[in-house]
Amino acid sequence: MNPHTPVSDIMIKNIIGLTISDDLDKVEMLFKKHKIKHIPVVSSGVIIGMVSYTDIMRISQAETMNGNDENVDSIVYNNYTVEQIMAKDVETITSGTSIKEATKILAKRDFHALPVVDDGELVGIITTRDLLKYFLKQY
Amino acid sequence: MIRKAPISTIMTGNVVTLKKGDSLEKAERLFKHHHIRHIPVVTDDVIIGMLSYTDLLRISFADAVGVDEEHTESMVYDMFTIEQVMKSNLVCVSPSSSIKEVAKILAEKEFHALPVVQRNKLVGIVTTTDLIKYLLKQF
Repeated sequence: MNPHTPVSDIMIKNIIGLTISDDLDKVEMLFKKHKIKHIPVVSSGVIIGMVSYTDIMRISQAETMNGNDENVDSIVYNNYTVEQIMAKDVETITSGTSIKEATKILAKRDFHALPVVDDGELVGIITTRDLLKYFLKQY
Repeated sequence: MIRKAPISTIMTGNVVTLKKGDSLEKAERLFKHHHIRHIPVVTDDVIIGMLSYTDLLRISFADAVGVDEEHTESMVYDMFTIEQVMKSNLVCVSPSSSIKEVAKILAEKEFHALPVVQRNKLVGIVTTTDLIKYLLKQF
């Protein structure tokens, strides 16, 4: 595999983003509608955090496991904001970063997605799933 | 890349496991001590479920935000058993499955770890991180 191929070749460019004032019902709806697991939180084009599907599940599950029904989700969600549940110190890369370098970062870290930022502006996102798909194509 | 390389070459063979009668505190201790995110639940070497660190966070988070965390956690843990929290409909692979085949499953599915099973016995575990590390070596 070419060690210099940039992440821009495989990153997702059409990003679904959140703003800090979005409510968690909307967040859950976006995860389900787009079948994604990570959504960057942006403020005027700049990434300020990342919400993962796991973050959302953490706060809804405890209640639903007690045998309550669906509308419990909304009640729990009203108690939290995007800002409270998002990861804040998000590591980013640029679109010129090699796929190899991105792979190295995701192999070491605890998370599965890296936002791609050029000159302060969010331009894409790359996840471990994108890397696996790239990997499959190389066979 | 070796097209037919089997998953047994990159899986973790010495698997940390839980029994369904174990407490969730023990599960949390094991996650932290071994720095792992997935623990298979077994009965006599036969896998009956998979507990992820995320599953644990789901039940401890809702109540733990903003309050006396440590204390609340053990109270929440007492309310649930491993069997209630673990995933039980598992996709398993055999040690001779190719790395490519496993990458395909993990690229498509929602989860990040697969138990490796031979003649009904758990012999290993393979995670997205194992694949990403293997991928890194191919550059």
